[in-house]
Amino acid sequence: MMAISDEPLQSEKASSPTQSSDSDMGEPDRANLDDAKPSPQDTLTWKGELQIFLSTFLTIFLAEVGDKTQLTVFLMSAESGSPWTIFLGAGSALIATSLCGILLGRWLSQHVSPKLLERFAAVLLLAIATVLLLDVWQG
Amino acid sequence: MIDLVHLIDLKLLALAFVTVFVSELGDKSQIAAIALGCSTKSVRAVFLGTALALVLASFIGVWIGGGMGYLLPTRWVKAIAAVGFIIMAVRLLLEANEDDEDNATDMPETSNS
Repeated sequence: MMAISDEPLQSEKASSPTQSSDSDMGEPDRANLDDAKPSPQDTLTWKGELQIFLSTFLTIFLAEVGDKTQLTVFLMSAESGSPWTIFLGAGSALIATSLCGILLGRWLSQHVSPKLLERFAAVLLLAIATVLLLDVWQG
Repeated sequence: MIDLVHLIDLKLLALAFVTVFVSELGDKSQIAAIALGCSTKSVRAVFLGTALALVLASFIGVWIGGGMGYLLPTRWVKAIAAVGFIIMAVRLLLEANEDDEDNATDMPETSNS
């Protein structure tokens, strides 16, 4: 956890193509998959990363507001009377599930062609949007 | 030295962890994490964005909890999130199509899609 959260500081270094071998985020494998065109990893700036961070943060946050997890957390904290313990447990569980999801995604990105993967990811995102819109529709 | 065992009820902590972990497995935020994690150029930015969003959402759950429905029009918030996901999906599809045009000669098997 700490190792990953420290990494944005090293993003400038990691974006250099000659040093991509010391990165543990799987870029070398991905670079091999799409070396036909200029690799996007090499040109990804700090600003670009911030943009990815913010778009991810905002959509996931808005999708989760008022969702069942939030209600569960609220009910548990009200029931138990020790909200910080519940927050600690729920927060670490959420970090763990998102880490699992992202690691699965990264594993896929190393084993499936980028183009197929982009379509697969797009379909998943559209499915999530549909679920959200159904929620909205049903109140 | 503060006695952590008495400060934090470990059983309650484990209960909260397991409940939330199980209810989030395969839930839409984890599916979004898979989708964004496999299509992004920066895995750590996606991880930080997802984790912070979820932690903040659960913090709000603890903090205002039931008052959430009065403070924010959750239906509209969800609709905005849906639009955000659609925009990301369309962007990915456009990128995939660009790749198609670039690699049309390299990968003829995808030309029928």
